[in-house]
Amino acid sequence: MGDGLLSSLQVLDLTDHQGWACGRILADMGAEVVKVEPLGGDPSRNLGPFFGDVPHPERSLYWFSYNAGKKGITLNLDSPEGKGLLHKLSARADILVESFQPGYLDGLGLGYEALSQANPGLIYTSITPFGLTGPRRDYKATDLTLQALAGIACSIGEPERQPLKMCLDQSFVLGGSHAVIGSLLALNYRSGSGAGQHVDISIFDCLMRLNYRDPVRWDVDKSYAQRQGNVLVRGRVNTRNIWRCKDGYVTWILAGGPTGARENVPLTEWMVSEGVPGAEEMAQVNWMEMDLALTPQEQVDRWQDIFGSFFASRTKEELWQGGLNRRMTLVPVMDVEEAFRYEQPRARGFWHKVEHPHLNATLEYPGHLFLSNNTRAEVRGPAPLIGEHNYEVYGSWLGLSRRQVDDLRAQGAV
Amino acid sequence: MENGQALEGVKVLDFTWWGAGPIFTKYLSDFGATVVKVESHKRLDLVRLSEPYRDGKVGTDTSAMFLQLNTSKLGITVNLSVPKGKELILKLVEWADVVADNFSAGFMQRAGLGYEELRKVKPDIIMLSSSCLGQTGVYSDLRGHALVGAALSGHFHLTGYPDGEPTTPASIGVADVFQPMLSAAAVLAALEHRRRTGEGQYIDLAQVEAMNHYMAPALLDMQANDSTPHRDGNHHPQAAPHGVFQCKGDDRWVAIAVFTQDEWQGLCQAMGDPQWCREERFATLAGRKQNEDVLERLIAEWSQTQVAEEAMEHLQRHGVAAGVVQNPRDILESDPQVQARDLFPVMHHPVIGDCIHPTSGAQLSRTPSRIETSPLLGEHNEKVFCQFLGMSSEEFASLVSEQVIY
Repeated sequence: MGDGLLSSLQVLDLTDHQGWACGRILADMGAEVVKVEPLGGDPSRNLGPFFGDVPHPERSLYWFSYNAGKKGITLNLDSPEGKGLLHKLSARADILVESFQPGYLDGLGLGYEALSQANPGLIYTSITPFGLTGPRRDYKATDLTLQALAGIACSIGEPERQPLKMCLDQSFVLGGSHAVIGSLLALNYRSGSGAGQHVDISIFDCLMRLNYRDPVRWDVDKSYAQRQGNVLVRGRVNTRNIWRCKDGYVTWILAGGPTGARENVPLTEWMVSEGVPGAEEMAQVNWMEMDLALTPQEQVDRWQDIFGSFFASRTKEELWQGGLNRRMTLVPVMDVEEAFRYEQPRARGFWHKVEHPHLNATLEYPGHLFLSNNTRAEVRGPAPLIGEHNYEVYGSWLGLSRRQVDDLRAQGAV
Repeated sequence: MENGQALEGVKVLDFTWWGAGPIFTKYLSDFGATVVKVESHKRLDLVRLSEPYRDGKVGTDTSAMFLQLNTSKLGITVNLSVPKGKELILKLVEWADVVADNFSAGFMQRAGLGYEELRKVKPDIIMLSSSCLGQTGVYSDLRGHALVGAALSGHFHLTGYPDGEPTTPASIGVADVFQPMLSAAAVLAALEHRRRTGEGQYIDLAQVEAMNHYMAPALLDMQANDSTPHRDGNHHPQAAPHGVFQCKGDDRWVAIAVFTQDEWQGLCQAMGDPQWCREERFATLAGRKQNEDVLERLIAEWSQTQVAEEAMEHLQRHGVAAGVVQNPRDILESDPQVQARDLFPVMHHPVIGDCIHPTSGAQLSRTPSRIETSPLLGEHNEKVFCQFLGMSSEEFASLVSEQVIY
């Protein structure tokens, strides 16, 4: 089993929470990723949740999640010695990824133009809320305001209540993941040409990729999906996608034609066999021929009322097992603990135990990105403590002795 | 100067369909890989039958939805259910660097196109199979779609009003966007590995596992704190206010997020320093969190007198993160950022006509993406078989008439 698809790659990671995921994914695939933090640590270490609910830069579970497997060094970019060190480090790096405000590193003399002079093959990836160009490039942004502007919030929630965002900081993992794609595209180009380049990742642009259906509906039909609770808006007919059951929720979609019939036929048979009111009527429908786009919404709603009453009378587990037995896609909406316990990823060895000696604790992390016949793509260890790998990295990358690193510390550079 | 494209010369044989697979291979095709999409009249990518259609005309080549997910690809039609069809596919495997599919587990093996078969004709082939639950394990044969990964990872559970149902965007399968990013990362990394070692790869990627990666902080929180994370609307434990506020007009809203004291001061100034801003209960983050409902009502009183776009700009000038809740019309017709970065260039499709073509989400300074329109069903049969594989026009014609190329 080889150690990783990217085991020859060296990466400098100057991101905060807006870009952490990029380095985590590269590290999982075997790259040596060095997280470069200011003295005292990355300010985003102050974002929660925290281990033991105690806010502390060495206890952020958000930090743990997306910095696992990286090495950590400290470096004061405001000091001349610190700037010099970053020049030397970047001369050795394949990829540098950063998420400062647009132009910030340019102002320090550490922009793409400056660093690529000594290393023309450098891939320099900038992750910013709106990208390096355009009238909003200097706008302040958070996950919430980005999901609002990108048209995601307008389609989540109840019609009479406030629009909602997706959970957690999904904008930022989206941006970090696109930074991986952009950087590896540039790496492919470099392998033939020797030339690096500047990769510009706008988190807003990435959210626009998420918003893959509604802009074109506006372009073509002058319509779009307004929020209406748990209704999937895809065309002329709306169908429900999340359903209440006895002890929670399940997900299931009514579809037409042969695809839908693979669900609708066994489901109606199941309902008939259990004597569900209205099921006999459903069994008369020719599901193979049913074309959802040509079916009046009232008819669809009537069927959905009957399906819904069946779901509401059964538990998640009954519906999940009954659906599996019938080869249906009728799936429980799992809470976080259920997702963690779910046996299928466990059977695939998905969860990896990671030790946190400073907390005297072991946590199970989402482990592999994927399985492969001859390589590992999985979490490599815990996130670094502040400055944990100063001696190691300054030693192996720049040949500095421990004494020299101590001197740099005394100068306030490290 | 012309720099060529990032993936020039990379050849992809693409069996993917629906959302997640095509969204993944679009990252390759838009950057210059030759992506040959395999369909047949017997097995369309069913997104071809997905709205919207230009002028409401239903047909195999009229779906603008298909266009959105399949830019810059070539389209061929091969009947896989006849032996000659499979032979053609194996010739294409020999030609290809990468083979991708997103069938339910086991389908490619049953079709005689599993990884072991493919590597016999192309030892260093890179094959990626993505599925809902992975290729191994008891439930690997679950047929699935974009809702499954979000349902089984806690993503749905954590999205929604605290007093309401779990929920999700009304027209987007979120897992169909998250999983393809890892597929693209995996294949690009596998290409790098092959350059270095000469070795190919079989990649088994599960949508539910991909989604769990993107839910990691909640999964660690649950273990470390014995907590049961629950959906909390637009709230954030370390910010207040942190919500969406109604403005003048029909369904117009502005999102406002305040993490620091400076931002709080900026918000107060932007609202004209009303008396209530100085109340002791709002002086600290802890106080604002404790009185968040009242705080939100008071801010809404201000926001309702504002035009959303003006409120956003006004707040930004005061150092507050704010964003209008834009709808697709705003995005396409009046968003200066979308226009400046040309995120939806209008290009011509031979059947659909002029239509927006979405860009790629990554801008590369030296090798920018080059978007072309999506393929008609079977549009590139002759190009692929005669030009790429060197088939004679007689043989091509006979395979067409035998409905092998069909």
